[in-house]
Amino acid sequence: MRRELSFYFDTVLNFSGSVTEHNFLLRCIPADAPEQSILSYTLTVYPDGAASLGRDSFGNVVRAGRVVEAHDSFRYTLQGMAYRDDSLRVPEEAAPFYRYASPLTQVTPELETFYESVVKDEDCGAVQGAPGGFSAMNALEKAQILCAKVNEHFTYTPGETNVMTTAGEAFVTGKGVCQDYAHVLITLCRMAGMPARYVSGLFVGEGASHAWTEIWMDGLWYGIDPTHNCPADEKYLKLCIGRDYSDCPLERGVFSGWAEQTQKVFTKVTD
Amino acid sequence: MKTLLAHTKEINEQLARYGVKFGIYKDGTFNERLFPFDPVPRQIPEKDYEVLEKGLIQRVTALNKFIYDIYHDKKIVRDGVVPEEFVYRSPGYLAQCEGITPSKDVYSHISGIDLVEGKDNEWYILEDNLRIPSGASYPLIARTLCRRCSPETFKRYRVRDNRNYGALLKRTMDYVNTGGINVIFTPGRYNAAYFEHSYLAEQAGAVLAESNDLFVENQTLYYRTSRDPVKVGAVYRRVSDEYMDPLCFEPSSLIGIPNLMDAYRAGNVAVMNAPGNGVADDKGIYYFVPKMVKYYLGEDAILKNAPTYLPYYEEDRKYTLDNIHRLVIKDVAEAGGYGVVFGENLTQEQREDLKNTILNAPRRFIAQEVIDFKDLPILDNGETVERKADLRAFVLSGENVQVWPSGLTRFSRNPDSFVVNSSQGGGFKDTWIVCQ
Amino acid sequence: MDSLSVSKLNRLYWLGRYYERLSTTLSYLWDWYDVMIDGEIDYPDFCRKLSIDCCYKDDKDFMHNYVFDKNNPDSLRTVADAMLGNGMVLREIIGSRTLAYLELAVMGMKSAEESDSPTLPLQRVIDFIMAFRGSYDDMIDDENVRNIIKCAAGVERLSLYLRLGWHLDSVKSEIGKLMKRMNRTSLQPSHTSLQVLLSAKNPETPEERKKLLDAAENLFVV
Repeated sequence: MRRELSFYFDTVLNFSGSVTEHNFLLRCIPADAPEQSILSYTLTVYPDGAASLGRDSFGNVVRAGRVVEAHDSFRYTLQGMAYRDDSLRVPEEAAPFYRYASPLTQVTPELETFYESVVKDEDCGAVQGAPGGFSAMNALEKAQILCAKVNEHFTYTPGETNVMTTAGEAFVTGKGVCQDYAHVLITLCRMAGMPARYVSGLFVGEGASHAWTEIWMDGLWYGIDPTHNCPADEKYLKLCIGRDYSDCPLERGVFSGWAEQTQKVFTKVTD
Repeated sequence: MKTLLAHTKEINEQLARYGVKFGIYKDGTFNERLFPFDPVPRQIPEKDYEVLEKGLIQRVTALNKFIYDIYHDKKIVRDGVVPEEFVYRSPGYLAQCEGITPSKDVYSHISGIDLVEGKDNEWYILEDNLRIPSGASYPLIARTLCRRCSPETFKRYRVRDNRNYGALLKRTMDYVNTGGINVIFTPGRYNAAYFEHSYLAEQAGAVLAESNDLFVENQTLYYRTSRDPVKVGAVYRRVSDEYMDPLCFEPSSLIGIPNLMDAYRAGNVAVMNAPGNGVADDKGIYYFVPKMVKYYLGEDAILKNAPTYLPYYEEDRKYTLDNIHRLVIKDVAEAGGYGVVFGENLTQEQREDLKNTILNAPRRFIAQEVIDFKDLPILDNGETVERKADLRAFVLSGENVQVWPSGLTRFSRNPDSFVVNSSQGGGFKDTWIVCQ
Repeated sequence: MDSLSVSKLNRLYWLGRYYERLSTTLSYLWDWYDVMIDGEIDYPDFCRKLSIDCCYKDDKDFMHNYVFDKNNPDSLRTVADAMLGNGMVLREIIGSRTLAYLELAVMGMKSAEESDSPTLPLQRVIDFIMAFRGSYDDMIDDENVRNIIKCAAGVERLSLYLRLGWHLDSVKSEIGKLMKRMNRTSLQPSHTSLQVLLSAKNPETPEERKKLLDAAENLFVV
């Protein structure tokens, strides 16, 4: 169902000491697409140095910058209006690299076993009303089955994993956050032969930024959210995409100075 | 030649004087040692060299076109010449480089192509090195020093001059330079090839810089000076892809330049060699290079590959398993002489293990016939002995593709070893292209 | 390009200080080999003056370890290695031919260590450093680069003279040379140090020496 979304995304990084020569790359500016037209947006960055806009290999808008002077916090705030309507999607080809394992989505023996058990499970056909079981389903149906299984496998547990945690590592503990759910689902979907990718973004409500999965079928990308076990529909606003998280962090920076870094994020999306 | 050998002592003294060293890490500590030099040169008659030269130009031209194709239209994959998974599962393929067009479309500016000469007098390609091949500095300085120590030898033999490498490198850098200075970007003093980095900077008139000396602002790479920053137009980086830019690749890298990829993508600096080249020098892709030559150039490959089998294909898999006792098995993910196993050196049990490993992950391995390559004479404590040796030819791609009329000949120290790699012991020789 | 990176400038400075430290200290210790034949040397006094640890058993141990021990952070061998280490990262600026003299000096240190009569091989080390001085002065086109090395060497020489109380009668003329060279570089001297040095005469009291030493050491913040 089409929606007009008003979005606000605010991140503050606090450093325990002062840092200099801070180089950063932001990927939080949402791409303008037929199904997600960005009616207006502003991005404020503080402190800010020489800034430049570009695009990366995944099509994300990248905003680079460099702050030379000493500072002990860094803040970027995005706000704007978007019009979301998935019926306006335009068919496109999936880049072939979305079909292969990426750094954080390597297949492990545990994931393989898990995948085999889902595929063999005869019930899953019945549930979907698709005779012939898993192999007779189309990609989206398969992805939905896998999504439900991932959701069931995981217990949402902040603090157990970090941004470097691989799908295999998170899977073994069964604990993780949206990033881990998405990585595991991506790995399984690719095992099933369909192109799959990682999405960072926001969805209607208040809180933190979110991550989910997109799979490709017959020329279209479909959003699917394993954390909530539901389609990522027009209530979701896509900020950036990649093969996995490591391709598309919303913010990545390096600086000089020894400082611990803490992060506060607030998002709000309303329709 | 006798006069040259008589001057071995002086030559070695000269090499030490000029600090011709390479570093190795052993048990976590860094040590530099002299790269042992053998004064007996490898001699290649000019007419043989002409064939090599043509073949190398052809091969590198095709490889450059392949890399361009992979990061753009991927025609060779669509046309089924190279199976998709050999490209996208290759550790050298970097999705972060998709769609980037480097300055003047050149990807592999400095290619190091490793060859061996078989006893059948045929040259075989062992592997292509399109990322950061090292070694040109050693024969370059050795030639200068040998000429100094034994001028008579060089009066008698008519040897193609190789001392233009610095000029060739400079021309290659100038050609792709987008405006600004030329920089050689080194990981630092404790890199194995530091001597080479600093020597090439001197020879090519480039500035040698470490990551602290460089920064990116407004998608432009700058060299930091005590006055105003100076724009860099071409950076010959000797830092590997994954450590080159912590904001694009390995985030923990301390030897990279943040946002270098952003400047490179914007076309504001030439990065030599281009990141992502590893997709073309992968041991698995090697098999397909003659097919690339045919595909892109419509020509038959002049230089042969060593006979290679891909267990990925059923027929080759069967052949590999049946003949494992006489094949070399290479793990495509390993480099620098590691991950190379000779079937004949394995016990029956080890062979069975290896077979199972291959069956479980056929894409990970290639199998090659052991080439019976010509031994070269080397001096060992005053005696002449025969050792295995290969040749790394350097091909520079700028306005045109040129072969450096010399090369690095490496030999194994150990008489039984087929592996000639400076990181595993062994030494080097000068390579002479001899005019009749 | 006439601009140097900050790190290269730093390296040039330390190259100058280390080669001067090596050659001046060797020259100072030179006579000690002779003194030791029929007397004793006051090495504890030497260590105190240079503010280094005095961890030596006797005269012989001092003359061996202080000069040659590469694991001793104060030793001249360590100074020689640091000199070469700075030179190595400046190859494209000072040139391979000039750099070779630093390699030779370090090789000379190694062969002197193995010799039972080290004075002669050490003479070679000093010779190589003299050759290095001639070579860089003659071969490097960039006046700024040449004079940064010379300034650093001048600072080091002053520092050693003042600490050791050696050649105090030439302190004023050394300062004069340093000031002239400084004006041909891009180095930014500290204002306070500059004032002290510009008004200096040959020191007579320990206080005067200390004041000049501090000024010399803090002249350039590199």
